[in-house]
Amino acid sequence: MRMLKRPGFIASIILILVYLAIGIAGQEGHLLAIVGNAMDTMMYIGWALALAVIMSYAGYVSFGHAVFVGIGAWMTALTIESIMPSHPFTISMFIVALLLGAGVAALVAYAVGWVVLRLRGAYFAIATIGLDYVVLYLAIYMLSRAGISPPMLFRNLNLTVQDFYWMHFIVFIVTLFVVYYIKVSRFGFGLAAIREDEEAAEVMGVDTFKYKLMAFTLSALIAGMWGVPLAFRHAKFDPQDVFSLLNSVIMIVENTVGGLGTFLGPIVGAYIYYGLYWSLLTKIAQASFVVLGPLIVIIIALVPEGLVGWLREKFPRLRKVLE
Amino acid sequence: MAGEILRGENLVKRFGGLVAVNEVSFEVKKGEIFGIIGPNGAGKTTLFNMISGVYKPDEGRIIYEGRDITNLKPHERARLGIARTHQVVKPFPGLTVLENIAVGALFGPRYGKISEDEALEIAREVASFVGLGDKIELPAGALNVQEKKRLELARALAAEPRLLLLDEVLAGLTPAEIDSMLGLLRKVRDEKGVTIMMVEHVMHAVMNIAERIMVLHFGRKIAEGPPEEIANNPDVIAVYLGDPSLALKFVKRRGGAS
Ligand SMILES: Nc1ncnc2c1ncn2[C@@H]1O[C@H](COP(=O)(O)OP(=O)(O)OP(=O)(O)O)[C@@H](O)[C@H]1O
Ligand SMILES: [Mg+2]
Repeated sequence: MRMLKRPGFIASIILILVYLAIGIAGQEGHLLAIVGNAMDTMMYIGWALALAVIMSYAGYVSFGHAVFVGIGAWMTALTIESIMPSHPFTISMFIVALLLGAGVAALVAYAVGWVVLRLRGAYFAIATIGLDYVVLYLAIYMLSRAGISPPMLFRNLNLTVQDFYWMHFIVFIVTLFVVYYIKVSRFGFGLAAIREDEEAAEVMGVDTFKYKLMAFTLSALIAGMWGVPLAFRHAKFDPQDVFSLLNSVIMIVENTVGGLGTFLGPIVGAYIYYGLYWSLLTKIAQASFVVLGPLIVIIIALVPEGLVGWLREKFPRLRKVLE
Repeated sequence: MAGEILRGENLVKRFGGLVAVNEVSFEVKKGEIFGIIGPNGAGKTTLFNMISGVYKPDEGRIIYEGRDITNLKPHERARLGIARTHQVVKPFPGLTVLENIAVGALFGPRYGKISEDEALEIAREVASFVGLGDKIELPAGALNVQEKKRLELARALAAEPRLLLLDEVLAGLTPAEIDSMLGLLRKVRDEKGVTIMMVEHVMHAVMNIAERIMVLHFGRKIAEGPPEEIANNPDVIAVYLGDPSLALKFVKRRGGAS
């Protein structure tokens, strides 16, 4: 298969090997800080790639996409505290949480998408913000009915940083391969056609509604998976935190800064975002978002096509490499 | 009727108070080149939009290969072998020429039957067939209008359609380019047996290539027949051709280009 020789695939393999090495080296205590950063970057890349399927590939911006990460975290809470309340942590608990988190996120997206994807872009964008608030208040309501005032703290599962790391790593591998495969498959061609000109795509035989719905559902499924390691790592489900609009904005920023329409763009965008965030955070702590916001606006104003998009335009020879 | 590929029955399309297509019926035979002419705003593109499924007719039916397709979505019609080009070109600007054409191959009647790699291979062949062989790696947005028209044709051809709708593919081309495009279209019909419906303003070209021509005026069909007959039809001359001697000259050129 030609696909296996392509840059996106090779880049995925390299990333996986690097993170594998960090995970193994991270057994040493003094590397804990790096392990933390590595986990963060895997998560931010995961978020970016999740949204990329609908935003970057198909051209439909989902403004409230954090809702699906939140659903994943919620389902994790449910798994730990209600479905398997007396189990010690085993890999099966993680798998149940993953299936539930990804599955429910995908179902919700399918139902919502089935209604709003019949409309064109703007309605869709607004819909996911609305959905985010609905699910946020639903979660708070359900918690209060169970007598819990958020955040809901999980019982002690005796997990180590290494455990969290490998959880991130597993979801990371799945994300890279699924999102890369979508890009190079017929499905990816169809989504690109929709992004570029929806009417022409439909006339050429792309079932635009079905493809948009599939893209949105898959995008939510991946975001849902990312809620699981997040919840385990923080050992809590805090609706205000996971459903925050800020998380949705981060996903959009990563895609925009990296460049739309490519597989590598969201990955590069995630590193840029995290790099800026981290370097500012360590210097000016609380003020970081105040500085980060305008900084990102400036970047987007300077390179509206995103870094990868800009490189592709500037150096056409790179087009083959930066897919 | 035997040998028929497409039939429109009493097609009507209204936009508010305007009747863009008014009770138009026609039939197209398998393997023929069927021209559609008429002044600006006559309803030609609207008729194409109804055949390709972009608009649903307000009245009437469309029968394709013996099957009523009036209620099918555009992508379903594409999979049945109906492909088209757009008068106002609609390339996928951010995709390369090769990728643009591959979309046509992947989602046409061969949907599900060929792989992505095969589609790219077909795209390469079709690109050189329409004369875009040296442009395949360029983003479609970087092409000039003439090249974009060729790209539209290539995307449609890559699908291996049985019915090809061409909306003014000759507009803006130089006489030499028109001759080469006509040669290309004849080849498509003769070698691949594709039925072609073409909307055209370049009168001598359509007179030259089409076997039958339908004339629309204010949404109504006012004439239909072989080019010679159309060129001499007084109604047509009155509304469209204006100058009969000029029209005759066009007809005499028939067969000149190949
Ligand atoms: N989507 C639309 N909404 C409203 N009016 C439309 C629409 N599409 C076409 N029309 C109108 O319908 C009429 C027929 O338009 P159409 O584009 O079919 O003409 P045409 O024969 O293709 O003309 P041209 O030679 O200029 O391309 C025109 O009066 C046009 O303004
Ligand atoms: Mg027209």
